[in-house]
Amino acid sequence: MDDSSYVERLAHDVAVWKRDGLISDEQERAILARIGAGEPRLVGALRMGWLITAVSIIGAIILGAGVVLLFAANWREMPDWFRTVVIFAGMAIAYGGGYLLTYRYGMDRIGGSLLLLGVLLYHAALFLFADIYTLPVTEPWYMLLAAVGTLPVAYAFGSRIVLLLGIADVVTFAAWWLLARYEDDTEAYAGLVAVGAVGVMLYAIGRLHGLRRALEAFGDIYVLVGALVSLTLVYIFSFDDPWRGIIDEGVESFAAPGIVYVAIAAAAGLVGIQWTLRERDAEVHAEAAILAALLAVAGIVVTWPVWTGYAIVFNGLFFLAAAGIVTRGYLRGDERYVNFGLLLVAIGVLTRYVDVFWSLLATSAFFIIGGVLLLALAFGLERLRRRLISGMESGPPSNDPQTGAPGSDAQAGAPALHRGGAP
Amino acid sequence: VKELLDRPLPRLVAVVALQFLVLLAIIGFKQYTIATADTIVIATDVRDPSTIVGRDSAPARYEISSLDAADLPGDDLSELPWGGDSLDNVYVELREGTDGVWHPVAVHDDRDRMFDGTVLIAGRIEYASGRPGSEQFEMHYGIERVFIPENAAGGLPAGSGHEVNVEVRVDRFGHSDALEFVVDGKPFELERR
Repeated sequence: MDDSSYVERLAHDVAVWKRDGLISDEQERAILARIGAGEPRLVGALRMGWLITAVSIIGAIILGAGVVLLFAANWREMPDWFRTVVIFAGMAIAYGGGYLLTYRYGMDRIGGSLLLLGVLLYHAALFLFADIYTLPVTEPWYMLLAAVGTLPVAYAFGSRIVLLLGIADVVTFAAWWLLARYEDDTEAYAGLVAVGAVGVMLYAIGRLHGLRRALEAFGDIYVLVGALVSLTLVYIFSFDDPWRGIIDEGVESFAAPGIVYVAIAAAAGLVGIQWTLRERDAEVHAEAAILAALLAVAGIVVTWPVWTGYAIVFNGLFFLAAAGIVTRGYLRGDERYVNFGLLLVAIGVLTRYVDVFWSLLATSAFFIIGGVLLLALAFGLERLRRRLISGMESGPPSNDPQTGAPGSDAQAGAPALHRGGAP
Repeated sequence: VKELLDRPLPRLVAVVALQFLVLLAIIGFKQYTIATADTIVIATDVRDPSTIVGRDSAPARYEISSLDAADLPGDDLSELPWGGDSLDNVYVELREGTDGVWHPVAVHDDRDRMFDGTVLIAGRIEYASGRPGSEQFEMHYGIERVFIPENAAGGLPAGSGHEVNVEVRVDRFGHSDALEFVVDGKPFELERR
């Protein structure tokens, strides 16, 4: 992180800490004076950086959507060569503008948004070119080509939002290709398991990024997307229906396509590599054990899929992962993980309530009892959250100050506690 | 190279060049597909050539616009709809007859052929009727809105009872592109609306 963005982020964080009562007015002023931002107008300007980023990103997305809609409305009237030139020119203008604003005029936030616009236009261009040159438009390979063009931009210019887009391309390609390739009911479940393995791969790749300081910020994005993909698949398999469907379809053991095993093995390899290379402590061991257990269950499921008890196993995995995320947040003193883990617990409990009681209770009783239970659940979770957070504020039981606090806060020597937002 | 890529402008040029290359590869792929496409002749149900002259003439109907599964020597209709449903990405397998015109021999929901020496043309089932095993399909291929421009209609035979065919290029994905009319064996210019 360069100095200016660090100062802007600190100015933002200080405001949050003061609002949450962690620091006093005097302490806020002292911290801001230390970074050369004691003047109220300067502080306001620094904090406005976040607003500019948000507005310019939204602007880039809206502009990209507008350009696509403009093309869509007048597409057929334009000759092929003109459409081709317009697409190339649009991308060149977006990238050129992004470069000039960032490196000539120092307006890196708006410049970064124009880079994002260029990447969005590139995505649109892939499908528009397919349309112009009458190639099949609904093919998953375009998402892979999108990732091939997007990820280098993310790494070349350190853009996390472009990286998120590139990872989304990879996940979309994997899910689309696997589900289209194995759309037959007897193989579709195996395709889903492979998508879950892709999620674990992304998670492990994120941890590997964490080994290099320059790539740490990217690691969080991989970990977040990987966790969401894996948990989504675990959640889907926590229902009875997929397993009943597998039994009804007469799926046999050892019938899964080989690529699913390749995906699981690749994920296991990456988990092993990151476990070997990272500084090993109890948390790293626990994380690797959970990922290994997840992959082992995936391997068993695709090999012997006929068993209704898998729904219980995946429920166990879902709640185990949620508990792991809460514990991680507690140990690291990071409220974001605690909130996310508790959200998963709430989703899991609510899902099982609907799953079990929807057909057993009258509609009115279902909602009344459900409402009461939800309020009770919220009350219990809030008490648990408060207890965890008060434990963190009195000093999280982290035995390593470097790993006990996320990078930016460790740099700032600021409180390690994060509030709000997703991990 | 590393020193060069440490500067932002060469970095930008490199990543944008990569994206342009990917997009140009799509054009190259299409050109390759065109170069390796088959050119076939399919029959229309037009008997009076004057009905296809001019931009306002009726869309062309081909022999393959209506298919009766019972008349096809082979079929693979297990996934195809019937009873009023429509379906995209259907492939009609065509085989060349002794008259040089390509006729339907099977309908598939994938690009797997049933016979050797055949061509697959992609289309959409607009409407399916009949019962399983004897379905009738109304098909759309995207080559229906074609006509002979008025300034090219000189020499066109008058009256009915003529054979009006269309020369069509079909690529390996089944995409078709109408090239020209063939009226009683003589080529005539074709335009698309």
